[in-house]
Amino acid sequence: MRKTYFRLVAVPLLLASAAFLGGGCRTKYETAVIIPQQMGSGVNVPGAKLLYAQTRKACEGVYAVSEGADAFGNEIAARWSYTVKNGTDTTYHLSLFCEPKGAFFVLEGRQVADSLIFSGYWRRLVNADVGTASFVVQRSGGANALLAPDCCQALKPGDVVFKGKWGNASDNQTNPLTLSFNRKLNPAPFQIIAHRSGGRTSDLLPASENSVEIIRLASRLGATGVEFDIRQTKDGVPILYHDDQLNLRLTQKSGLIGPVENYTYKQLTSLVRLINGEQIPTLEEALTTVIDDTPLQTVWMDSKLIRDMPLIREIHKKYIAKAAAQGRKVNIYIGLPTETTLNQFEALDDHLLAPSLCELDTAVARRINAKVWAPRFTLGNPVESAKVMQAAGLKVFVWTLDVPDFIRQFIDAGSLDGILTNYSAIVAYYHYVQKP
Amino acid sequence: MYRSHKIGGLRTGWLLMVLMMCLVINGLAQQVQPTPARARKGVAKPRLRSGYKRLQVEPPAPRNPGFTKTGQLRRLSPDQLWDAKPDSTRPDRGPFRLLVYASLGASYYSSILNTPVALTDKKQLRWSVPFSLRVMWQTDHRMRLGLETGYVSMYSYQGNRNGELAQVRVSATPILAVFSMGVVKRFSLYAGTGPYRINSSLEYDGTARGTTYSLGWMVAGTYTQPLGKNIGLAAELKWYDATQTKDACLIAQATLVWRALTW
Repeated sequence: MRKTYFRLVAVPLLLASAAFLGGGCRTKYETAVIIPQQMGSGVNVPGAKLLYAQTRKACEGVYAVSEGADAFGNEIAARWSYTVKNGTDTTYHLSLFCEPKGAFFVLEGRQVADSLIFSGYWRRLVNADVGTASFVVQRSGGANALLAPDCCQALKPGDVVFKGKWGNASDNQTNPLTLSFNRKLNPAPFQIIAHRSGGRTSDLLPASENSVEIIRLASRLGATGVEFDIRQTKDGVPILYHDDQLNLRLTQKSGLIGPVENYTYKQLTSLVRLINGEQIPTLEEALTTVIDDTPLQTVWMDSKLIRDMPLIREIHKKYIAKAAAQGRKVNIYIGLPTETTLNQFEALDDHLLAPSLCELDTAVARRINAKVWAPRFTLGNPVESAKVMQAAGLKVFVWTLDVPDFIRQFIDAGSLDGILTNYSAIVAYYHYVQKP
Repeated sequence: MYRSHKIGGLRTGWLLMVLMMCLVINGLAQQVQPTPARARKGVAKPRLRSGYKRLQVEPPAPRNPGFTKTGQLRRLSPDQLWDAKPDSTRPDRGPFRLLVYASLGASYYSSILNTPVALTDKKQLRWSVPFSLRVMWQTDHRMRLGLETGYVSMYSYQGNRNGELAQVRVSATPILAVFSMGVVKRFSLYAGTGPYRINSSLEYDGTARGTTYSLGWMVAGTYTQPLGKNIGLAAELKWYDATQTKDACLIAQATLVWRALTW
């Protein structure tokens, strides 16, 4: 009887343990958070008109939250960005950055009669919470000032009020959220650089990391710059890909495994798709997207595994010239994370003229005439070194800061020119609400 | 950030619970249990020797599972021997055996297989003929330990891309630590874990090969029919799961069992 008892217990336990090991190691969240399909064709209201540039500009600022502060905090920073589609079709988005749990809103705005309406979605970056939201600025709530031809030099606190509602997932918008203009955004120059071209796949964003689509999304998430991860295919084409292997973290299942450098660009582009279905982009496609389609100002080309540095430098020069020809102020840096890439870079004839970003020590950064020194934040407080490097004419970016308390501390210290982060929206909030 | 903490906590809780249950069951299993005959009489006899030697030199006790009803010595499997004399601390352990299992059969790839959207005229093949080799140490108690390896062609597909044929083949070689336990007569369950070496081959725009290691597990059930003193034939149903690469297959195999060593 006893042995039967042992077998009855032990066998299911053995099977349960095996099933746990098999099932428990799988990622619990495997697909991107679905953004409610409300913005596909813009704000669809009869008679709605696009907003004037000065109206958009005037909407930017720090708003006090009078209703809904329990969900989105006491202050919200509002900032516009744009995306160009097919070379001509420009869409403007108003992003609202909040403090709790990395929450942000992405809205489109229109003028309807003498009011402004805004509609879009919200998302929390630290979990999978998502939903819709809409706001209206009525004539009495400041729309008359925002729509005035001479808008808007000196808005005072309370001059503009966004009356809004928000809902969870695809539920009806029943929760009130009221925003009241408080002050302008912090005007200090500061670069919010989005890791992996905009954000990590693991954060369930609607586009895969290191894709053209995430570059287009980056500025809506608060970024003013992006960091690419560059590798070269078997036939030498520079592409954007982070890991050293083709794997299911980054790509859809295709049967192709092993180092990405084992495959030609033709093989990759034909058979491999990133986790949300995008193609692995070339470096040139990514740089074209930044310059043509986004307001991004900084590109950090992180050299993961480069065999042909002269080719990278040629592409670098080509796109610096392209940005200049289009009147775009885009700083493109060749990132140097290791001694190997440093040696390859120093072998270039014109390396002292090439804008570079050095992750190694300060002496190396000076020796190669780097434009940016980028220490890892875990190596210690870089404030004193940053001051020295800034006095020598270099910018200082710190990587990779994701913890809100650390982000706030570094921004409050005021000694950095930029932060590399996976959570642009959090950095954007702390930077823009900071009082000068 | 918060999400991973929560998941980590749940997983740790599961593991702790399973560990605690295993410890309790192991503790109960380690208790020396009197044979039914002794229990009925309530006599605590001094333990002398165990296994075949003891059974050969001592007179048969009534209803001792080591003997038939007529008092003849019964040939005991290690499981039965353990039931007759369940004391892993006895000084003369044994018998121990080394068993070799060689298997051949058919496999069916059971995971989701989405071939690349860029291909046209796609064909998939999920069936293959796998083989495996397993070496088990059969102890004098219920648990057996061993290693398993082999080869299984997980899947292959082909399709056209701009008029050019692309072919992909994926195979796996398990390198697993395997545990086994007899459940009822001649029927055993197996569970194992370890890495699978996953190999990929692409024929398109030249040839490209890749290899990676994927942690995973296996479970199997085996019915063994003895054919001779040291040889048997088994039917085996097996599940291979290379978790990291999300590859899994169901395998039905005929297995030749060879008792290579006894000591």
